[in-house]
Amino acid sequence: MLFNSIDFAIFLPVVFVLYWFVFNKNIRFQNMLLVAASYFFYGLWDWRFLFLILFSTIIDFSIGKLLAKKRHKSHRKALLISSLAVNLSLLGFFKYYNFFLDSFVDTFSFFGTFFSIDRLDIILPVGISFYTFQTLSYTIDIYRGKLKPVNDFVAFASFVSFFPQLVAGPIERATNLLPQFFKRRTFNYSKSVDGLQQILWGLFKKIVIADNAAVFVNDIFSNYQDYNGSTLVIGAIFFAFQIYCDFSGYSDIAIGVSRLFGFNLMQNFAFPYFSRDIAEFWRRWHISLSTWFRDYLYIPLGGSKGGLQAKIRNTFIIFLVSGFWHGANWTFVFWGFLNALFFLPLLLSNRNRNNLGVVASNRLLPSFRDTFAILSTFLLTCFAWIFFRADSISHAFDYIKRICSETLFKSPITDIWTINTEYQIIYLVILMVFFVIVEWIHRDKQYGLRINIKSKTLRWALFYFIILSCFLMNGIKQEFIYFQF
Amino acid sequence: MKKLFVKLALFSIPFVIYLLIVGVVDPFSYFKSNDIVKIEVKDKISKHVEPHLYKMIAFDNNPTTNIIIGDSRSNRFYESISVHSNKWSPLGYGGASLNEVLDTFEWLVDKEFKVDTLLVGINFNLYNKYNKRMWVEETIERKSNPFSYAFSSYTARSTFLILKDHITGKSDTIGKPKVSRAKFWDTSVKRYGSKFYAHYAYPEYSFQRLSAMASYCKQKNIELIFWIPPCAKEINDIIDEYGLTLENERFINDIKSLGKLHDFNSDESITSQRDNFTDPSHFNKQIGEKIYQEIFKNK
Repeated sequence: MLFNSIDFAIFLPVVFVLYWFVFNKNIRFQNMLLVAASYFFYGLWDWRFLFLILFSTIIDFSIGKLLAKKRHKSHRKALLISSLAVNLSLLGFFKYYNFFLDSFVDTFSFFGTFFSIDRLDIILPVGISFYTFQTLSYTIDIYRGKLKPVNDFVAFASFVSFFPQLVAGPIERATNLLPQFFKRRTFNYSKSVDGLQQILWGLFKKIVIADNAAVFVNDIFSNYQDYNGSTLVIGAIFFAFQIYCDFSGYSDIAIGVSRLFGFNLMQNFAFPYFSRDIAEFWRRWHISLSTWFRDYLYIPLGGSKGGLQAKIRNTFIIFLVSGFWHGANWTFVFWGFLNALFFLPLLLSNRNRNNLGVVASNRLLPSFRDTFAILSTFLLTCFAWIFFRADSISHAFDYIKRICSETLFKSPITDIWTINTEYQIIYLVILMVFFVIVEWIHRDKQYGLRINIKSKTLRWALFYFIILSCFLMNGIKQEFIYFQF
Repeated sequence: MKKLFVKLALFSIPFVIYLLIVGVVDPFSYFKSNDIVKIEVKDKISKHVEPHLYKMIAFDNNPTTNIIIGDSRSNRFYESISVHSNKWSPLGYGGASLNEVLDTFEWLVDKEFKVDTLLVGINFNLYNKYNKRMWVEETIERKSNPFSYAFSSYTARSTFLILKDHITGKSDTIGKPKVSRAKFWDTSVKRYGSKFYAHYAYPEYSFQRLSAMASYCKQKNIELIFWIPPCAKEINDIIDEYGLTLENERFINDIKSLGKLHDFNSDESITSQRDNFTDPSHFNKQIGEKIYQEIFKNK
C-alpha cells in the first residue's frame, strides 16, 4: 500500500478511529490492532512475505529472551551470532543472491573460465533491509547490556512491523521505539496537528516534486546519448531533488502518521542539501541508517581512533557497506566509494566536525562563503548521484563523459521540450523554488513545514495551496525509490 | 480529539463544496448516471479542455467494437466514418504521439474491451523517438479513482467553464487566424518541420510495441488496418529538407510489414492540391469521404 494512494487514505482514518475509540481501553489491545493493521498494510503488497517478518520477529524475540538468561560470554556471543546469521542470511539471499552469482561468474570469465549457473527468480521483499536492521538493533543492544529483553510478544511484533516505518524507515533503534509500545498513549491535539502537517509536507515532496521530476530524470537518464551536456546536468540536479523528496517525503509521512498514534520516531533528514561539507551532509542524510552504521559498525571497528591506516580503512568500510546496503549493484558500491573519497580529506585534516550547527543560524540568508560551500557540496552530491541513478558504472561514466563534451554549452531548452510534457517543467521549477524557500526558512526545525505563522488565514491559505498543488500536479504515480532497498 | 475533528471538518468544507459541484456538473461524465449538464455542453467544453479524458470515459461508458486511433487526422476521419456508421468510436487525440496511440491500444487490451476492427492512423511525424508525449498514461492514472478525477486541473477547469457557460450563456470560442491563408500555410509548414523533424531518432521501442500490437490482433482475430493520412506536398517536402527521406521510407516499410496499409500520403492527386486541406496537415471532408470509400470499398 502506497502512502500516496486512495487505499491508504481510507486505511489510515479507519485504523485511527479504531485505535483511539475502540481499542483504547488498554495498551495491549492497541498493540494488537497495530500488528493486525501493519500485517494488513504489508500483506496487500504480497502476503507471502508476512511469514518472513513473522519469522524474523519470532527469532529475535526468542534470542533476546535467551540472551537475558545466559551469563556466559561465549554463549551470549553464540546467540548474537545466530541472530546476525539468520537475519543477514535472509537479507543476503533475497537481496544479494543473484548479484553474488553474477559477480562470481563474471570474475571467472575474466580469468578465462566460462560457465553458467541459473539465476533464481527471486522477488525482493519490500522493506527487508529496513526491518532487518531494526530487529538487529534489538539483539545487539541486549547483548551489549543497553536494553532488557521484552516478554510481551505482541509489543515486540508491533515494534518490528509498525506500519508507518515498516517498508522504508526510519530504521528505529529498539532503545527508542520499543519502550513506547509499553507506555500508555494519550491523544494529544498539538502532536496530531503537527503530525498532519508533516504528512502534508511529505505528500507535497513526493507527489509534486519527486514524481514530477522523475518524468524528466527517467527520460534523460534513459536517452542520455541524445541530449546535450547541459540537459544531462539538469537531469542530475533533478535526480538530486527527486531522491531527496521521495525518500525524505516518505520519512515525513511515516513520522507524521506515527505521531497521530502517539509515537515519536527519530528525525531521518535534517535539510541535507544545506550542508556545507560532505561530513555535514552525512550527518543530515538518512540519519537513521548512518547512525546505525556508526554505532554498530564504525565504532566497533575503532571509528576515527587509531592510526591513519585504520581511519582510512574504517571510512571506506562504512561507506562501501552503506552503498551496498542500498542494492545489489556495483553502482551503489561505487557511489559509497565516491562519498568515502569526498569525506576522507575532511577526516584526515580534522575538519569533519567543523559544521555542526545550522547554517546561517538567526540570519535570513547565508554568507557568501556559506553559499559557496553549500553549492559545492550540492554539486559533489549530484555528481555521486549520477552513479546511484545509472544502470551500470559504464552508463554513469558515459553520462559524465557526455556532460563534459562541448554540448555542455548548448541550450537545454530544445531538449527539454522534446520530452513534451507541455508547461509541466515550468510549474515544477516554480514549485521547486517554493520548496527550497520553505525548507530554508525552517532549516532549524524538525521538518520543512513546521510553520510558525500566527494568522490562521495565512496558515490555512498555505495548506490549501499545498493540497491544491498535490492534486493539480498529480501525474503518473511513481513507487517510492527506497522500497527497492 | 473533538477539537481535531471539528478543525478538520471546517478545513475540509471548501473541498466538500468543490466535490459536490464536480459531482453535479461531472464535466467528463465520470459518474455515468448523472445527466444534469447536457452532453452537448460537455462535448463543446470538456472535450476541448482534455480530449484524452473525455474520449476514454466516453468509450468506457459506451464501448463499440470498431475503434479508430491516432492523432487529429484520425479524429477528422472519424467524422467521415460517422456519416456512414455509428458503430465506431474515436480514440484519437490532437497532437498525439505514437506512445499515446500504443498506450490507448494497451489500455483497450488491459480493460478487455471486445475489438473487431482497429483502424490506426500514423504519419511519419509520429514515428520519431522524440515524439513521446504521454498524456494517455496520465489520463489512465487520472481516471483511476474519483478523487484523482475530481481534483485534476482539467476537471476543475471544465467545471468552471461549464458553470460560466451556464451562468453567462457565453462560451469561449476559437476564432479564425487573423492572417491570410497563404501566410498561415507557410507558418504552419515551418512550425511542423521544426517541431517534428529538427530532432529525429528511429523509434526502436515503438516499433517493438507496434509489432506486439500486430501479433496480438492476429491472435485475437482483430482486423488491423493501418493508414497514412495525406498531408500537403509542402509538409512532405520538408522531410527531404531535414534529410529524413530514407527514414520516411523505412517508416512506410515498417508499417507495411505489420499488416494492411493504405498510404494516402503518397497519392499526389491528393497531396498536391492545397484545396484538399484545411491546413497543411489536415485533409478536408471531401478527402475524408474519398479515404472512407477507399478503405471500406469492399465492406
